[in-house]
Amino acid sequence: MTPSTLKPALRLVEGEGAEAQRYAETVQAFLAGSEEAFAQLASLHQRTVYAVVRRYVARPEDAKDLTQKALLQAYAARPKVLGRLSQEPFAFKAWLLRIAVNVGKNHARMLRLWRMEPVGHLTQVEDGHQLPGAELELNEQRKRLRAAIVKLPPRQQEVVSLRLDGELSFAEIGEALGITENNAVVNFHYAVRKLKSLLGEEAP
Amino acid sequence: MTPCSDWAERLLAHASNTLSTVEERLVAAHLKHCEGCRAELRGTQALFEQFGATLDAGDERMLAALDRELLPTLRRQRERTLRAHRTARVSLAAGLAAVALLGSWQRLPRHALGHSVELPGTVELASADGLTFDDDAVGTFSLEDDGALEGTEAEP
Repeated sequence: MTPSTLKPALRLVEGEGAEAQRYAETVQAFLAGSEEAFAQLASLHQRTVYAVVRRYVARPEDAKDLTQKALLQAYAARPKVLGRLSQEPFAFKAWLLRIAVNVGKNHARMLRLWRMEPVGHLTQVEDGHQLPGAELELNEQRKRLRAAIVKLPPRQQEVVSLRLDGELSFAEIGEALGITENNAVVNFHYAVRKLKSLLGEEAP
Repeated sequence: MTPCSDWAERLLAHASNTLSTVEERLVAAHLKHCEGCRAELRGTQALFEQFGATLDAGDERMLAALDRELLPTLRRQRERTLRAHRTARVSLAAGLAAVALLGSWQRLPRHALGHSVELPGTVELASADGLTFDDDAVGTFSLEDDGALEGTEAEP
């Protein structure tokens, strides 16, 4: 599913304009208890949530489960949001991705507790498929990148994922992780440098 | 060629679209004549693109399944929550009713519950001056909550 095939009624729009207004209204409807509004928002953001939790799991099936878990947790947490909602517009996406990061982290913690295989050691190449050369190369890249991300400190992993998978601004990342915007920027810069260094070392 | 170390931060910020307009112009001007920084920027942009391409065919299948399953799952969850709330409300109401019933039962006088004590026809009540009262008019004595004996004393 590409972004263009997302729900036609709603697109992720930041800033101003009719679509942004519509998005804000959908968020308000969700806060007012509309299940349909939440389904629209969830459908719009589920790819991003999936991409974020995917960093914490080895298999697509697990990522799907965690995505569903994060979305259901968000749905159930609506009354809590209402309880501490300020005058400012509610940053739904940042809030949702914060839940996704927490769900992913908890899952990773459980994996460590049960001494299961770390995420970075698993290949993404599907069994039984004869992949063409380009696709094989792409899979190798994915595998290397995944392994490199796992080597980052947890905070840097979170920041880089929220920035590049979640496409959040640094201010939103700071809000989501409970750190300052500047701290998010610094973590991101360190993470990118380290990733480039790790991938550079491994490049053939 | 190596990138200029004092431009590294700004190049990364440029790749992340977090520079101000003025700084963007400065970076653009620098990139025009610095091959090392251009290569560095290309590397960073390639890394960011890799991030965008981390989902494979298996992931796409899961995303499609999520799209199908999300709404039914949400509905199931809502029904479960409603059921749980209903059960909790019924349990609470039953509990409150039980407490209220118990409370009112404890407040009832014993005779109202059939625990009254019928005294014998002749009651001898010793008075302070040693006189004895003999009366057939017998009152009914019952215990109140505080345990005090209450009743109609025999008329002298």
